[in-house]
Formats: sequence, structure tokens, C-alpha cells
Amino acid sequence: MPLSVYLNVAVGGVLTGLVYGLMALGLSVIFGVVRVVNFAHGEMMTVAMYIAIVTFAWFHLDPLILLVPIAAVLFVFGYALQASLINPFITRPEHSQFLLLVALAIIIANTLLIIFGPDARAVQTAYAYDSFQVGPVIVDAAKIYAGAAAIVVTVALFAFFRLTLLGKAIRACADNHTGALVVGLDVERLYALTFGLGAACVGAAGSMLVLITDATPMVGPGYTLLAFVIVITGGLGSMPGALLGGVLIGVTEAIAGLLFTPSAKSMFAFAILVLVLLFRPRGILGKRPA
Amino acid sequence: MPIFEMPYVLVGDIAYDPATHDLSVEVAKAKATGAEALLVISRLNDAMLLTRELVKQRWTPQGIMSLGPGWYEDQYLKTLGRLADGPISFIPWYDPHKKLSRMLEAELAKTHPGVNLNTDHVYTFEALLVAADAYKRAGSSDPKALADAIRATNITDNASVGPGIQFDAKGQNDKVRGAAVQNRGGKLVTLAPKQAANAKPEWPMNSYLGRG
Amino acid sequence: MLRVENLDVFYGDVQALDGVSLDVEEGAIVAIVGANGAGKTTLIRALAGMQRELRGRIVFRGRDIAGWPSHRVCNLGLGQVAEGRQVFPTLTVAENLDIGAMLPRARALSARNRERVLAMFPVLAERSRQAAGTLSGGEQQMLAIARCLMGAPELIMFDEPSLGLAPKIALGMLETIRELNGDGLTCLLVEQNVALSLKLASRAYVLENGRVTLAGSGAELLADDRVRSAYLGL
Repeated sequence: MPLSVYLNVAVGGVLTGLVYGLMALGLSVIFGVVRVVNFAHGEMMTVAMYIAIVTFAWFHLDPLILLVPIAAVLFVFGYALQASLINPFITRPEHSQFLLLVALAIIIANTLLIIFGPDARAVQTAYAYDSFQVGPVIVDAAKIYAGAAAIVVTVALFAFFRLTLLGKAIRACADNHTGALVVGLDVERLYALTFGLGAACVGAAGSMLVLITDATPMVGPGYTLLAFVIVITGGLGSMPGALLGGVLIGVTEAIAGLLFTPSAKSMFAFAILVLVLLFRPRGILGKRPA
Repeated sequence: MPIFEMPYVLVGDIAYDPATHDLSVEVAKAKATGAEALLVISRLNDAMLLTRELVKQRWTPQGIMSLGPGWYEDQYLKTLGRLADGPISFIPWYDPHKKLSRMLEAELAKTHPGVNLNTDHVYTFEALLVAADAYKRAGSSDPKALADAIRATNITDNASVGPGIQFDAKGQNDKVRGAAVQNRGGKLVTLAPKQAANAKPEWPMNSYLGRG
Repeated sequence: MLRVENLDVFYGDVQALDGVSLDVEEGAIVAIVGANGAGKTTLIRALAGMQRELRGRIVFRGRDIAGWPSHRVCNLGLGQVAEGRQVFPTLTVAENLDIGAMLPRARALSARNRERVLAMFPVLAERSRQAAGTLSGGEQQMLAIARCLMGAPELIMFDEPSLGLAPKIALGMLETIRELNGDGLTCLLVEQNVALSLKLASRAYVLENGRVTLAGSGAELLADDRVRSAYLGL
């Protein structure tokens, strides 16, 4: 096969991987701070995808512009969810948290199913079929926009955690829960904020993902699993790790699909996961536990 | 895999997960084989994904031949608009020249404007036709009489492609014939068999470039 | 300033504190003395709003704060330097101080308080960009105190401030507490070094199995035979 084919496929894998990485970042942020595994992650992204699809159908607003309001909506959703439902479960055993979030996932998926039916839906932007040609490489325009937006959102989030007082307070909660209570941080509110931010990442990722793929109400669990694979590969709690994990998985799947049979490409993503777990259990960019 | 005497070379076969959300790699791989035509077995979602990738990767094969659902469905035509034109589906179909087909088309246009008549509608209709015909001949709703009447079915005035409806010993309607239909201008035209055809095949299909 | 009346605290079915009453007057250093497991840390956690399964009254600056969440308690001016220091290890020293000043009551005073604590602990200024987890034990304890002071507290509860520190540094820590008290800060002190803490304290309580068994001035308890045999090994 000509080299340009590999190049094309790899570039596509990087860009898709960035969007996956942004989604996984949400999971990583939530787990890193709140220590709750969001088993409804993929379903929350499905919600974002449907909001993008519906608003696009009604108002013809570009999903890239919708990214901000959709992230805001998901933020409010995540905040309310943590404040009302999850905070009371923080001190409960992990299996009750698991049941709570799986129940939530099922409720979300089936509500979407009732409202939208089982068929795939998509948005048809003006550039949905555009692609750029750079030398031998043809790149999907929507993927470029989505990948770029994923980087922007990640940088913004990174800046928030590094530079703002509120971001530092959230990191403090993740660092030392007792310490946060001792200095009088409102930990429950910060948890809600964190869950909101994680959900906002998912919202942003979801609104970009509709540029790349269709949505059906039942795509959630696949994305939840993908987010787990990415986060564990990249390193739990590491923000650059989530993005790197996303890109790594994206490229691996793409190249594996090219070299072997595409139907087996997920196998290679899991193979990477297994290798990372064997040789670097804390993930590629994960920090050694203190 | 059985070997057939065909004047074609199969340059590759690509299996993919039918529930996938991204077929860019698959299309890139197919394009790289240099194939002249694409033989596809898909459903609606992957048919749309494949088309989108063909457009984005700027590859128009001479023809796309589908051996199943997806490519002729209304949602495919509606979603893709002008990009839906070109693929040929080899499927059971109705004979557009038959009287009943024309009546069905006219009726559907009245009650459900914008919906193309397809095999699902026609088979549903013909099922009712078989039942009504059997009831008329049996003259009662006695199950045994009805079953015997159905076995003796011989309808020639139907909608599907082929000489009519008649069931063999296994209960199969062996009179039904396959057809080839092509998407053209948001509608479906019949290319084959000859007696049902209402258009000539467009081959090679128009390039995706510049269709917008 | 702080009055505790008949405080019962529970961990599920287990009662950890049983009818504890005590008084901390403004400007005082009050010591709590007791063996491991007597309920000293539980008492501090309950007062700080971190252990909220309780009965009884906790009156601080005229308000019953029993059952309040910790952030509201802190914002009323009841600060804490917790056992084990509890700094934020991956945050820098400067960021740890920032977090301490996030209480609404302290935000406006942040710049002035920072100047004050850095003057008191110059080593923190030197290490302001270093991750707190890389500091020595003594430096972490200074950071914990400095962080607490950034919240502009009126009363600080110290839980084992000298635990795990070299003797000389431990002495310095208690000296710091005396200085802070000299500046007008009220202190509640739980300290393994019973002799020293009783010397510092104007009033002290002995906690045994979740009950106050003895109370008096620091000097009185130092002279008490039971205290001398049980806690001073004399």
C-alpha cells in the first residue's frame, strides 16, 4: 500500500483520538477529584450529541458554535447530579455508587430511545463532506475542526486548574480530602463543580463528535468503555495523559484497521491497555501514588 | 469460499463491525486496493457512513453494488440528497410497469407524500392480497379450508417482479424474481430484469466531486 | 469564646465521646490531655464540623455550630491545624497558602496575612514554588499553621502539632503556638507532650474513654498525682 494511505489514516486517527481524549478527560477529572467512576459517561455524551443534533435541526447552528452552550448545559446537569444524587453516595461503598450510575445510564439511554427512536441521527453541516488536500494527504475537514476544538478546550481546562483559585481548590480536594475539609473548603460544592466540569468536557466532546459520527441512543456504553481504556492507558488523573491516551488509541485503531482486518481494530486498543497494565500499571503519564 | 467463473478479480474483502461509527479506515483501505467497483453488504447506518467517507476521501468507484438493505432506503436518500445517487441495489423489488404497482405508488403518494414505495410495502400488501384471495376462494374462515386455499394460490396480477405468486411444496413463492434498482435524483429506478426495467443503468456513476 | 455542652459523638453504633463539656475563653491556651483513643481527635473533628453524628451544643462566638459543615465552621473563625499536617502535597507552598485564604472571611485580608505568615516562617517564602510534598516534616507543619492563619481564624485547634518532629523542632513548634497566643489568638491544644502542653495551658482537661475526667488550670493538673502517674510517668 502506498505510504500516503498510512499517512491519511494516521492523521484521521490522531484527530478522532483528540476528541476521544477530551471525552476521556472528563472521566479522568471526575475520578481524579471526586473518586467516583462515572459509569454514565458515554450516556452523558449521547445526551450532548442529541442536543447538538436537535439544535442543529431547529436553528441550523453549527456544532462548533454550539460547543459552548452544550458544554454549559452539561455542566449544569453534572453539577446538579453531583449535588443532588452523588454527594450522598460519596461515603458509601463502591458497589452502591456503581449501581447508582449504571441506573442513571440506563435511564438516560432509554429516555433518549423514547424521545428519538432507535435510528441513527446526524447533522449535515455545510462542510460535512469537505476535506482538505495537503500533498498526498486528504484530511476530513470536520475532523480537523473537532480535533482543534478538543485541544482548545483541554488547554482552557488545564489553565483553569493551574491558574485560577477555584481550579487550585479543586486540585487541593483531589490532593488531600481531609486537608480540604480542615482549611474550610466547601468540598461538596467543589465536587459538584468538578463533576460539572467533567460533564462539560463530555458535552464539548459530544457536540464535536456529531461532526464525525452519527448518534443512536445506545452508543453510550461503547464510549464509556473507550473512555476507560483511554484514561487507564494515559494515566488516571493526568490531563495530558487523557489526551495522549486518546490519540494513541485513535491511531492504533486506525493503523491496525489498515494492516489487519478493520473489524478487529478494537482488539488492538485493548491490547495496548493490557500492555500498559502489565508494564506500567499507573498509565503512560500517570504519577506514582504518593 | 467457492470459486466462480467470473471475468472479474476480487481485489480484496474488508469486514467491519456493523455497529461502528467510523469507517474512514475501511474506505481508505478499499480505495488503496485500486478497485474499480465496490460490492457492499450493509445496513442503513454503515451505508451512510461509507458514502460520507467516499465523498470525503474523494473516491468515486465506477459503481457501488449493494446486495442488501441500506442503500435504497428513504432515509439514505433523504439524508444524503444528491450524494445518494448512483448506487445500485440488487434486491427483491416491485415491477413498476404492473397495474397494481402503479396503483400502490399513486395511493402512497396521496397518503404519504415523499415516501418511496419499496419492497416492505409491497410484500405487506401482497400478504394481504394472498389472504384475501384465499378467503374468497375458500368461501369460509375455516382454518383447514383457508390453508388449502393458500396452498392453491395462483395470482398473476400482483406487484412484485416476476410472473406472480405461487407457492411450492415448501411454501416458498418461487415465482418472485430479483431486481436491480438504482438511486437517481432521489428516486429509485428499475434497471433489471428487462421486463420490469424503466431506465438504463448509469455506469460509471457520476463523480461525487462537485455534487454538493 | 468556645463552649461545649454535653457533647456525644458517634461512629455508627459506637459512641466516641460521652457528655463532654468544656470552655475555652478568649485569649487562652486550653490543653486537652488523654491517652491514644481517648477521643481527642474525635473531639477536634466534631468541633470542626468534620464529624457530624453528634448530640449536644457547641457554642462558638455565640452561635450553636453543632452539625454545621466544616466550611461554615471555618468561616466563623474556628481554624484547625490537623493531625498529620494535611498539606496539599502536589500543590506548591504558595498555592497551599492561596487555598487557606479562600474562606470568604479571609479573602480581603489575603495579602496582609501572607506577609505576616511569611515573616513568621521565612523558610516558606524561600520554598514558595516548591511542591508541599517535598518539604520536611517541620516545614510541612509550619505550612499547615501558615495555611490555617491565612484563613484569619480567631481560635485555632492544634492536633498533635509536634508529632513526628525532631525534639528541637517540636519545641520550636510549641514556642510558635505561644507566640501566636501572645498576639491574641485563642488556642485549643491536643499534644502528646503532656508536660509541655500543660505548662503552656491556662486551662486543661483530661479525656478518658470519651469523658472528661479531670479539669483545672495547667498548673493544677501538672501537680495532680493521677496526671503525673498516668501521663507524665512520674
